[in-house]
Amino acid sequence: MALSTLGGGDISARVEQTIQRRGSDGTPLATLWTTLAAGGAVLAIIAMFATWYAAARTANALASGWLPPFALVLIVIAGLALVAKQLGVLGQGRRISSDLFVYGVGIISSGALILRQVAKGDLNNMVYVLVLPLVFLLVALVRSLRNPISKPMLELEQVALGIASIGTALIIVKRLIDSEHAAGGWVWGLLAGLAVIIAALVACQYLGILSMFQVMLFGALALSTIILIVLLVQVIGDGWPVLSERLGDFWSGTLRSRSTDDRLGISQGIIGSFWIAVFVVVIAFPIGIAAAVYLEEYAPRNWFTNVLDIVVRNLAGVPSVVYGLLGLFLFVKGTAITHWFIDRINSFWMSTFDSSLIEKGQSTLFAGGVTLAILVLPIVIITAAEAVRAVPQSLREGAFGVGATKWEVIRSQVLPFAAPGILTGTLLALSRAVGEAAPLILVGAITGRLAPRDSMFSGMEDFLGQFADRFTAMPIVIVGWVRNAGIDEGFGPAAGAAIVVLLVFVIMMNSVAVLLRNYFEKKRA
Amino acid sequence: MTDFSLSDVVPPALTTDALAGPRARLRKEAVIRGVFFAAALVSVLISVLIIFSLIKEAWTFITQVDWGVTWGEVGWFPRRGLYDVPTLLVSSIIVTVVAMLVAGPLGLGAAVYLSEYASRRTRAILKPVLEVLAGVPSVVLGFFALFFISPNLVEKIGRNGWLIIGYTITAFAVAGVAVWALRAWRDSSADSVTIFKRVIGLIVMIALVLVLFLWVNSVAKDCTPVPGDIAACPSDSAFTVKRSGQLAAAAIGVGILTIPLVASVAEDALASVPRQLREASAGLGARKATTTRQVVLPAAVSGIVAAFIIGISRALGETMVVFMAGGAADAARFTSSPFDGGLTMTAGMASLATGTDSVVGEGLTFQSLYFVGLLLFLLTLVLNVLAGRFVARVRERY
Repeated sequence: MALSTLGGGDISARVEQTIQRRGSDGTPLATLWTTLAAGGAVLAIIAMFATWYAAARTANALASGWLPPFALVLIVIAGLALVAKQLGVLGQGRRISSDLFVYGVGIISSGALILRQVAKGDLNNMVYVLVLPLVFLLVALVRSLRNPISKPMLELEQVALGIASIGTALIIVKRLIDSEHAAGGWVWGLLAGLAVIIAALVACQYLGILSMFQVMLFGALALSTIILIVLLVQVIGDGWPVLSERLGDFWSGTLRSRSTDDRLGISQGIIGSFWIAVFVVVIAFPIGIAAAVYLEEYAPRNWFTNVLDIVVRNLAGVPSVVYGLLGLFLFVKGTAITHWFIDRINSFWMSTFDSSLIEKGQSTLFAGGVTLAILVLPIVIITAAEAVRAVPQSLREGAFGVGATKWEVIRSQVLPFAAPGILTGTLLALSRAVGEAAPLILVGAITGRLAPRDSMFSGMEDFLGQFADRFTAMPIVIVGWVRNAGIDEGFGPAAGAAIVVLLVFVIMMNSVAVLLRNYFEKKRA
Repeated sequence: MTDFSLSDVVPPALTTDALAGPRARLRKEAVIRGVFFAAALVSVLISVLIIFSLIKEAWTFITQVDWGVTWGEVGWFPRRGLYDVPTLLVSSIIVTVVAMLVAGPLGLGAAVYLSEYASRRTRAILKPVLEVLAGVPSVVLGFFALFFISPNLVEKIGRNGWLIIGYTITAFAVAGVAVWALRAWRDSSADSVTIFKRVIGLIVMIALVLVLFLWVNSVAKDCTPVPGDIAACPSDSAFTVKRSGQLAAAAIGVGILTIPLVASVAEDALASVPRQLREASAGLGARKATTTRQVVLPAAVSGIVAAFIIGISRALGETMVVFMAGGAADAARFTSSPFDGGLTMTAGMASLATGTDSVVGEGLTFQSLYFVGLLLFLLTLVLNVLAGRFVARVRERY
């Protein structure tokens, strides 16, 4: 109105038209948006029909009563009304009333769902249904209070839709869980997914993420997060019976052939993984860091350095199972050359320690440990090289200037500065080695029963003798139990519990590494 | 006047020998350099050993095997002397494709969001999620794929896949028609005949869908359960949960493992796109989404391709998830369906090697392991080299 008084009636009319049309239609995106919303509504209707039809076919009334379908109808009406309003079917002049209509229907439907929960006395579910709409309402209220220019009605409408969708999703998910392995469950699953999507869209609008493109991008990230959460919940849930009832026994127990055995546990796996970690620290770390220092500090620029670089990079991309083949070839199957080497090493070892280190044709802890050390070597080299590269040139030049030799520069300047980065890389490599199973399977780690060696620390011979023993490791224990679960279901929870233990270690190591890196990045920035 | 010689005032000329310091110090330097060089050579040694071992054993297989049993047989039954390579190859391809369908969009989407849109706070919260996901051992994903993805996702989709797809397509078709019809209603320029036609079209569409729906439901095999009435659905074979998994379940697990890798490589590529390009685009009046889609993504395209290739290489080489949740023990029939159990190249190797005593057994069983390993090694090598080229191209350009 104000614009038209300024003159140029033509322009003002167009401006007003634009304002009216904005966000409702006109752009392909808006059409897509509307189609999506409408499609969801139609899908909901189909799903409802499916349920009713199925109920009629099995000559059974819906056991859970008339309220959920009723609520669903209302929700669908709310959705349709919203679509209609977007399209302007309800008329421009009645915008407020249509808002009120949508809002009211949303509230009524959610209210119906809540009432039903109260009537059933099912407090847990009621809490779910109540909490989320309340949060939504609160957010809307705060926002409209803080920002008087924002349109409260629009927000209330979103709130209504949000409540409706989340309520629906929760009810449906509950039903899915109730009817285990339900054949028709997919209808509900689909509906729940839809409701969650609508709720997510509403949430995105609150977060200020408005374009469809952005919603999709955010969805990708959010989905990854959800997957991680579901994974953790599932694993902890599966392992909980074991973790809560017999953690002590489980910790000290050994591999057993029956899941009901009281002595079933992971001690052998933990010992195996511990020694593998020791092998990695002793073999891969020094060699890897030295190689990285050579590549960054010493290597001249020539073809050979290029070859080294390419070799390291490609080694990092070789599938872990191929390293297993290498371990199998070198330590277990062997050829004339490797046998000769093993004999030499053994004779040297025996002359000193009076016990053999490697058994020919046997998969031993030594074989597994060295294989994994080889596996993580390229990772250590690459991360350490990156850390060394990040050392400022001025530090080196300063040290050279006061007369230090190359090695003195490296020892006194380069390595201390690069230490945090190297540490991060080595921790990541270590956690990779501890979680890796495929090479160990090929080298021949034990998945079944393993005779325990209980005199590990009784003497030097026993201590060293275990390197020539057959072995297992945490991931291998898990694989073995998961495969046994097909025959003996009790192994499932045991595997879940073992995974929780493994994950605690691995995630702890990873987060220490990441925190360290972030700390030093911030400190140096 | 005292005797004065020049050498009293001017110090002796500084030679390099004098600067070098004591010889022992130099010798120490050379030794240390040699040690570091030797450490760097270890990786070359490992590469040589890998290639040597693979070729040596695979060569025995290649020269001694009856090639008739490596192609067109019923499946991969190494212990019975049937080494049908297509069984493993096709399963590997299925797993890789499905895994990339999961990891590609999710990884790329996450990377674009983190690099282009995320605020500092969002980034601080969500970036670690990907890092934790990257650190999850593959056996954990194997467990998850077998006990969660398989029963809750794959079996449901597998049993009702066409129904789901059909319903979704029809629903959105109806919605499209509805939008089209209602537009006419609103458009003041449309005459009443057009509106009438479109509304009739909408009604016909809905009627068609209803008929379709009733028909599908009457022929659908599955039983819709009634809450509280378990007897309504007899627990026949269709509802018993398979405890061994399927290729699709394993593939989704592999995909989840690959998400962080794809995301991190793609994010690096996006980060290397210079800021000036974005600013220029914004200066021309482009929206953020337009800038991202039409400027940033094309500029980073080789890095994104590299991310996908590295993801494919990783998915090909992933062993434990398929071994645990792929639905086959130590042999597999040929299958081209993701809803069957199967063995990929990696899982075939792992299952053959569970318990080494059987590997170092008779026949060519042991050698077949290395033959498959060589195939896998060459495939991933080609992919990695290719990815390296693409990454290098990004580096060169900016």
